[in-house]
Amino acid sequence: MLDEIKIMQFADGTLDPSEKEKVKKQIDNNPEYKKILDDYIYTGELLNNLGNEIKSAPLPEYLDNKIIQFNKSTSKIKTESKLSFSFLNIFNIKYSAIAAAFCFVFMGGFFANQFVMNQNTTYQVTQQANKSYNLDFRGGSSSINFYNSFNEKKFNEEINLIANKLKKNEEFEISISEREKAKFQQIDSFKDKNNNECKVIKSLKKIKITVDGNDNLFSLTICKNKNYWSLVAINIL
Amino acid sequence: MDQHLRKKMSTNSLPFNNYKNNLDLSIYDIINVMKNSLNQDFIKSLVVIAAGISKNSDPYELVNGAFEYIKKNWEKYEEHPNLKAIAVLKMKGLFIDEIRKNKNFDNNLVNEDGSDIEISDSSQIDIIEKIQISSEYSKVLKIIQSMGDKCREILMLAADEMDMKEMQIKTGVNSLGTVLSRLSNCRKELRERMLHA
Repeated sequence: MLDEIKIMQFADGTLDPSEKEKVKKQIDNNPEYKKILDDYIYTGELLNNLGNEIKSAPLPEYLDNKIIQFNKSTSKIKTESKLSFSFLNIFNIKYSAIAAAFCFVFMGGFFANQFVMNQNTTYQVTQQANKSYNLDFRGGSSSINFYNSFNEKKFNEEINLIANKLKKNEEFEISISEREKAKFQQIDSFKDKNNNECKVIKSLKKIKITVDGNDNLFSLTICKNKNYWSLVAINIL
Repeated sequence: MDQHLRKKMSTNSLPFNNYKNNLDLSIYDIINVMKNSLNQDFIKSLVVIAAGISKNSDPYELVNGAFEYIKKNWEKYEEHPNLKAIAVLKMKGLFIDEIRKNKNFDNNLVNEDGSDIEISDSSQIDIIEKIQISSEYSKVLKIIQSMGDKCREILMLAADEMDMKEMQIKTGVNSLGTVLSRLSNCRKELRERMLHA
């Protein structure tokens, strides 16, 4: 007996690739399943077209004006800030500090061929996570390659569904890119300097996380801020 | 969600956010292109979802309410990785507030037998007239509007081309299995109603 949900997923193209062949065979051999499949294809197209129709309908003028106004006002703030720049202020201590920071970051990039830190200890991970809620970013091309393959939005969404219940040494699977899932294990947990809960998860298999890099075992540090878990550090092991 | 928007939203959470405090504004401007934006695509996508949340009430009013809320709290939500989820939650809240105001509901939106109260608005605005779409799809929307709250919501989330994980977050359902089974049942019901329309 084939589950109708599997037929729906097959119709939508969202079925796990490992199951596709088996489900297809069952549908091909059963006219009743074929009819169910046709119905799901029909409703799928219907909903898709309905969504596109609504999106192509014009917005009411008041809403349209508000969007334009909002985007104008946000870009105006930025433009005004930009106009206030004066060449004579170039020696201002603030800009000098920024220039120095640039030199430091870019020179660091030449010497670091990976943007992630090579760390093994929990202490170091804690130190890194304490810095901010944004990923550390070092070097040039490898960081860009990393983001070509890693889907942080998808990762954050999925980790938020399971992170609260994760226990030490528990294994789980999570998406790291649009199509690829990877197995992880929670190896540690700690509190950062703001007393936010953080967890360290480690990949169980070596994974290529950059397009032109090598396969690596790596750990990810996630922290909870305002009830939302997000990725704060990536460490090659 | 269209591919353009999906691509843009997938870059929203790039970890450049703290750079705005440290770097020159011109670089911040470039980075800002990849961040959240309340543009037309985003708002139109909300209209699709609002058509599933509201029943006989103006979906544009819900979208307007969510827009105003996010605009007011822009500093807080500018860098949120799932701005759409915030907007959807706000629209649901606004719809329930509106119903309570009109019908003097108390805080309990569940019947004595534990089943959900079917929410409908007594003001009876014709949603089909509000959204200017072809008569063929007006008919489809009308049929979806006549379905239960849960079906309306999940079918319009599907119409916005959301994947199952996103639907789970936006419906607040605990398991992915429940989302799949609800969507499957609602699509069957839609098919049946289309046949008999």
